[in-house]
Amino acid sequence: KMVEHDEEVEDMMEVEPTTTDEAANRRVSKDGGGASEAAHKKSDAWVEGKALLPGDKTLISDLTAPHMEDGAPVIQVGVGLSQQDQHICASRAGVLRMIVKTATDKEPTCIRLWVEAGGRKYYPCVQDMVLGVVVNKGGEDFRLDIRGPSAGVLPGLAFEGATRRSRPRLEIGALVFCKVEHAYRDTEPQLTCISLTDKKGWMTGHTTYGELTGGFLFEVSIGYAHALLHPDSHVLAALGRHLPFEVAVGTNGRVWVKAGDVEKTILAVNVIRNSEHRDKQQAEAMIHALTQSQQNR
Amino acid sequence: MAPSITTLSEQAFVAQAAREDQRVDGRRLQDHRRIKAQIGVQPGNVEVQLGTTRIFAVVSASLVTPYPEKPSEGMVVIDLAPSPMADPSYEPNRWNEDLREARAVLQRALIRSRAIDAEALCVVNGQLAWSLRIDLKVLDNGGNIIDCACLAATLALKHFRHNEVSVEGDKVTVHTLEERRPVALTLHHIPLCVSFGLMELPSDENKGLGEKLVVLADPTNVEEKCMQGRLTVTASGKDSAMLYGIHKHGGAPIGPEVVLRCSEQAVQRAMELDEVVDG
Repeated sequence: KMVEHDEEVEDMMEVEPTTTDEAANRRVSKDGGGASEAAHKKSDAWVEGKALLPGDKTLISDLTAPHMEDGAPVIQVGVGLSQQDQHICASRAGVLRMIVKTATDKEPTCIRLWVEAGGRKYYPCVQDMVLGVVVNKGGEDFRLDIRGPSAGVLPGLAFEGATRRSRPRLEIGALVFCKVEHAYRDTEPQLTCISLTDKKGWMTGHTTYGELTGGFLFEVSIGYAHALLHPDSHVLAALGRHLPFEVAVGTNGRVWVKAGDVEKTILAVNVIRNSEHRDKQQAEAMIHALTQSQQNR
Repeated sequence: MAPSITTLSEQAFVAQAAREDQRVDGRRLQDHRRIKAQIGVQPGNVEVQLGTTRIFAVVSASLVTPYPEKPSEGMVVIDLAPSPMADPSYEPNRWNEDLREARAVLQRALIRSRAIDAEALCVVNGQLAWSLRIDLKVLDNGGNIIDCACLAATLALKHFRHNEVSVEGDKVTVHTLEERRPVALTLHHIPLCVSFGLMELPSDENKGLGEKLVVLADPTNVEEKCMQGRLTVTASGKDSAMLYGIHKHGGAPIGPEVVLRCSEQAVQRAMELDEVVDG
């Protein structure tokens, strides 16, 4: 059985890019037993939560097969994955995350895939919301450190309602919540604080993006930041039941917290930091214990 | 990689918290972090964790000719090297100012204070002596490398064994580990470094607060970025409370009462750590 498996893999590697049907047929005919083929295919199927190693690949047709009812779906390939002819190939070790948006009148079904790995290294991606720290002011632009390979550029006028005369003056060391507008591989990422849904100007302080003052900033792993941003995240919800606080989570692994006073902020910071590997009950127990110990001081 | 920068919010928050006797990880100003020490299989290999700071120490020895001006003494060399994974500001093959300072403090604490008996390292006067090498590697910088490194070096030295050497007339025999049990080093005392961070809190007219100098025991790396100076006291608590050195490299000016208070705390801490060292 092992020999058969190896032969099959080798065959796939050598195959020239043909139509997906031909390639699929070739695989079926090579392996005699249909049962082992099915079992092999099942364990290899790319589903949400599958562990991937660099080099693992899947045929695009296999990926789209279950979603063909409303027409051919569009596949969005995210971080850690790349397309190679008829395959999607993983270049990172981690867990596969998949979101499927069912078709609407205007858009076909959309499958979004990416590989999530614990890591602390951030690679800028368009549409990411990140927390940047001002490291340099050059002319009209600000340079922000976003924990990536190079600093991002935030144009001085990239704020809602900003003009030459009235625009924010950020100091070195200021913390800015912004969005990645362009992220080409060999250039500095371009950032912006303009949101498409904002109506108020930057001066009001009620915009989605902009400078964050007060509070405390700390770093977490990229995977944990993604988990916190997920609507089902239990950590922030559990914390919110105990005290009111403001939080900004950047996709680049930075978290900013602001609560009523120093004590509450410290509590919030420690809860969020230490809940990465805790489940709902453990997180609740920890919040409880920490609140008690603070009261007993 | 660019060195990590401190945000205004971190600085403001750490200062504000310090004013209220609070620190970001929930400690009080004078609390120290938890220590975890792992003794390696090979004698002289030790890994110490102080909070999130991790340092790995290895002691090795070789037989060499002693210096002509010190014919009856062996040699001890300490090296403190960064690992690039320890901190984003550590660049390989670049001189690191903080570690250079830390190494100087360790040399004074371990070698200049004569913690290691250099004469016991001598085998044949003028001809043969042991040369010790303490290699410290910073695996993770969570702040306060000096304390962690000193503890790691001390534990490694205590744990280290070298081959027994016997001398009969002109004949010198280095016994293998199977022939004779390896010999421990002679340590006169166990020096332990205790570091304090110094923060000058600015006055705040809005809240009616004046300037204040705050002392943080065992600073973390975030606090190190926000503080204005460091005071390291080398002390030993075993048998008798002894001070071996006080080190302050520039930074905020402090009065004698601060130095005295820190020294007392350091001796206290050294006595607590003695249990870790003995165990």
